[in-house]
Amino acid sequence: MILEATAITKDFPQRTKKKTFRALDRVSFSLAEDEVLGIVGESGSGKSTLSEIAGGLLAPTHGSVFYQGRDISLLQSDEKRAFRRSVQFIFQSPRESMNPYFTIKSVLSEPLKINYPKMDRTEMDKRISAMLERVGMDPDSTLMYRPSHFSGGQLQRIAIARSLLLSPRILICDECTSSLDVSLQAQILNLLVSIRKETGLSMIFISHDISVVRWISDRIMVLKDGVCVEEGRSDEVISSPKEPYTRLLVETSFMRELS
Amino acid sequence: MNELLKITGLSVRDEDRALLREVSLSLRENETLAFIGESGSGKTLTLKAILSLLPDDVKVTGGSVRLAGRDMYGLKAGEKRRLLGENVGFVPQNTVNYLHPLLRIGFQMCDGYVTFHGRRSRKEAEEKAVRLLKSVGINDPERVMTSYPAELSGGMRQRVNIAGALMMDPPLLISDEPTSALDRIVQKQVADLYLSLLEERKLSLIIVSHDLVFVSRIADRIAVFYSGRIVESGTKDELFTEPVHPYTKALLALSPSLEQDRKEPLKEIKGYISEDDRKRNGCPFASRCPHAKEECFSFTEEIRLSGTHSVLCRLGRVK
Amino acid sequence: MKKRNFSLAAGLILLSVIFILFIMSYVYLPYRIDQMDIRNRFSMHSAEHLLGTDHFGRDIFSRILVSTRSALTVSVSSVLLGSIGGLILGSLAALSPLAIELVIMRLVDALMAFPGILSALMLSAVLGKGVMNASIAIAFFMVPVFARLSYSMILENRKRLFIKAARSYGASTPRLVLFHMLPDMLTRLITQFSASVGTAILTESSLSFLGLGIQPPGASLGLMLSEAKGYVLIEPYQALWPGIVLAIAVLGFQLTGDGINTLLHREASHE
Repeated sequence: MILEATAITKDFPQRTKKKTFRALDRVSFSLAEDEVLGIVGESGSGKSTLSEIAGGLLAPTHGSVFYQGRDISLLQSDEKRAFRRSVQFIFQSPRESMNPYFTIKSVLSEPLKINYPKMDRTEMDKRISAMLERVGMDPDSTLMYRPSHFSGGQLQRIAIARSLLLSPRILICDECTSSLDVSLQAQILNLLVSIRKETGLSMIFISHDISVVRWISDRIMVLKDGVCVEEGRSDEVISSPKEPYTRLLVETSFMRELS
Repeated sequence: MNELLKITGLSVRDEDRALLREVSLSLRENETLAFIGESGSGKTLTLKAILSLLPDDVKVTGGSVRLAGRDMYGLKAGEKRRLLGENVGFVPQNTVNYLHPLLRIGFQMCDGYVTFHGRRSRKEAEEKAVRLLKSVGINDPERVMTSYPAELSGGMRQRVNIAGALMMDPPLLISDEPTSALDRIVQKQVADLYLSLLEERKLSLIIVSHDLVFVSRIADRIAVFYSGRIVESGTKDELFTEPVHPYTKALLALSPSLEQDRKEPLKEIKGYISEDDRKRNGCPFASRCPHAKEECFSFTEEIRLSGTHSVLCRLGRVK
Repeated sequence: MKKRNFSLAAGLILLSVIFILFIMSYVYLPYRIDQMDIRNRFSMHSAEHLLGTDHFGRDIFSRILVSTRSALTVSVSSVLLGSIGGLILGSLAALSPLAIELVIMRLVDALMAFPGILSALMLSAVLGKGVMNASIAIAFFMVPVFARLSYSMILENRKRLFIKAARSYGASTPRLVLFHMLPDMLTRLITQFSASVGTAILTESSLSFLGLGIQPPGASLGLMLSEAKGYVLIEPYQALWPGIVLAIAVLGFQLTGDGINTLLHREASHE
């Protein structure tokens, strides 16, 4: 297991009320090497919170996350840095995930500058250009512009390049295609899968769209109101859902039979 | 059957580009028409043209919009407002922002009705609002009437919006991306609600969506938009079973279904929509089309395949 | 559609008057400011003395030039000091654990509840008279405004997705503030800066008027007004000119701040 979370609970304080809001309630999961774990749920089900806890961006109220068997809250600063590098995110809105004042060149070079301060410029530029080409963008007509110059689909490619530059072991995709038009969704999903096959990285793929999750994931976890209602091999969950909620989710995702 | 809405050759542009080109469509009573297409394809703009809500810097350069037999753009502002108020109910896209966060639902629902019928109609309006909330499947309408929008879930808010659009008993409902923020289960409920309302009230409906699952549930006819033009339109069966335009075909094959083979990559449309697509006199899809020939870039024509099915592509000729 | 930005235009015109005076004080000073012409006391404007002379027969124009210079240096340097202090304090509060955040922000609130001029008065009374101490006093009362502003801007910025993204690839907190938040904050800080300089000029004049700022025989707008107040019925010119310059300076900075604000808002809404 490369990543494991045990009984994660997350409470958020609420401004108006005294009570806290429980976003996640004792959710556990594990992620094996070279595996894709899909998390399905409606908005507000806690799936984004779970992804942030899994990636160490947010501390759980109870429970722990283990990366390669070690509790990430106990890591020393060097190890912590290595963990940061190994887990990368792709967010829902690529436009908002980039600083609007930066050029694409600085967007892409920043992670490298932070994590490899000694890397020389030419090496850095070479890596950036190679990565842009890998995600299907032309470096010469990309690097000098700011994010506002590009469309959502192009920006999501750039965002993917950014997260891959640090050669992560785990990629967490949080609704990474839901802000895109259908014709671009498929492009981005195919790109992610082909990159995964090349690099063998593990992935946590979060979406409200069960058909996308089923296609990309080996295992599926269904979240509802912060509780894991069902978990299992992707095809099994879809073909024989055990819980009524999952069954409903599957049934409503078929196109209406055409008569 | 009567034509409730008829748009002929509508062209709209802003300062430097054409946003809609030669859009023609018609809608009969008790019929549901769906607009599908990507962002920037012109589907929402067409809605706005019908609702007379076009932004200031956007101009209508040709064509006409006839609502209930009257040419909308020939009317004075007051008459136009009255025509729209009596004939069209609008269900907006963003269920969170459309309702005013600090006003109670009841007040917001009744506001338009009271403006229209005078102050004395307030009580009448409230009774009607309660009835409508009940008919959109809300069990405790009195509580909802006194709630604030933040106290309701996304699905509830969408129901409230639909009920609000019905306050004036319009024969036509217009709904912009009604399900984009909702998950599949709530989406199905909303679709079922629309279907029962259409049946009950003999309403016409125009729905804008990029979600084919939703459209397949609800629409009678579909118009496919691409770069400001309708590239194909027809009945749902015609489009789903024998699409002709390569873009329609691609769109139908695109979104992964639960039957998609997991080992196969998803079908995709290569490339991006570019500004040149709008300027071209030929087919707007030509630059991404696998079947494009040279002529496609300079010329395209609408071909009628049946009484209801027409396509903007040379492939229609072969048929 | 382009709308005219009247505040900015008017503000900049007024400020250019002030800057011309400021530059002139270095390149062309008709008289030394303590040069007395006893026979020519209270003279009206003449070829010799452009704006006349005061009760000691000193050239009012020369004294105004030097006063403008000191008003600008004192106010700009104190606002600079105060804004940097406020920025640091505000960022510290926004990025610290809750307990420290509360302590800092309540302290700032307490300072803010205090009338600025009063705290400046108190401070210069404690520190003693003089330009240096007046600047420190003004800087001190500028801190809460900037602390509040930067605190709220950081809280707002912290929610943005690109900050989360930057944290996810390992960006440190100082880096987030300096590279990711500051460019966005700078525009609003500049607006506040310009408006604050206007207030600072007024405060500096008040302190000098009360005898706590610049000391005679030095020249300051406040000091000139203070000295003129005894003769205002016989010789109103002596009070009029420093008053006008003070008004131009304060109005100029305030209007410019206002103008920058609308300019930036307009650009932001254009996106």
